[in-house]
Amino acid sequence: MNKKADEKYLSIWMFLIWVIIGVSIVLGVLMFYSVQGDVRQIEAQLLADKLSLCLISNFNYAEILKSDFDIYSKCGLNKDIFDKGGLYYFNINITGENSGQLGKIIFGGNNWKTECDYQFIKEESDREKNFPQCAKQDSFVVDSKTNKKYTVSIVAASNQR
Amino acid sequence: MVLSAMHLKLWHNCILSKKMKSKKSQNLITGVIMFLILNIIFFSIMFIFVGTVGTTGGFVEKEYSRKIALAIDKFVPGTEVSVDIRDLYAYARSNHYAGNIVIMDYSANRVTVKLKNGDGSSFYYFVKLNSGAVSIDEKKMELIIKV
Repeated sequence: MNKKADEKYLSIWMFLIWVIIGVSIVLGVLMFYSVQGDVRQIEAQLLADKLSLCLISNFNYAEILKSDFDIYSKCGLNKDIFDKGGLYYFNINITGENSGQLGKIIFGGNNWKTECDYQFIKEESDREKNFPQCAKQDSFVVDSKTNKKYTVSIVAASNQR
Repeated sequence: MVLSAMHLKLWHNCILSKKMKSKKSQNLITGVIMFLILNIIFFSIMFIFVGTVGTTGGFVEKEYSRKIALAIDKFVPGTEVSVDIRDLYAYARSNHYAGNIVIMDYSANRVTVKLKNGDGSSFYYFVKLNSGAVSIDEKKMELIIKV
């Protein structure tokens, strides 16, 4: 066989290039599918929706203010999974009509407030992927008993990969 | 006589050089053909890999464990949801796996999908679910979730 032809087309460098291309394609595909499997943002949004829905329907601020108020049983959430840590976080901030009025803060799970605040100031595409993914929901509600207006701000996060 | 001998030598040399040239070009063509064949084989393997990697057992386990957990989290209490798990049965059959495809751990809030012998893929859900809320209709090949 012609040595020059061998060197030109079937050299060790040619095979090395194929290996590099192959490894790049494999890594690219695996990265693509790992991103596809990341549902943290959806989970965070679902948690925010769930909390918002259960608090807003028949909103009663007096009931929420009670010391024995249990957000987990009220919203059908499993407390153990939030206490387990590393998976979920929520923070509910209820404020009255007047902005100066003190409200009530309820939170559970890991404290990822700083991480979530950082995520919210970033564009969605620039968000830090290693941080938990967060969702925010603000609702204006009227108390079913007193007819007073309140703002319910919910921040929920998930870090389940 | 001398002239004719020289001519003969020149003619012989000419034929030899032509033969060598043709052998060289033949070798070059063989090299190019081999290169093209190897290229086709390499890129075919890559195309097959890219096309099938998303449908391999591991990825399907991961996809369905997430789907089921998100379905449990999404719906309001009192809802009954059915998830088509025909694909899961097909994958389990192709892997010769006859065990439970969807395993619910109600105390740990965890759903596990297994399509072959091994750990499978697990995912947590955050709502409180009653024991026995998830069942499988084997005839219809559906997963019934009563939230």
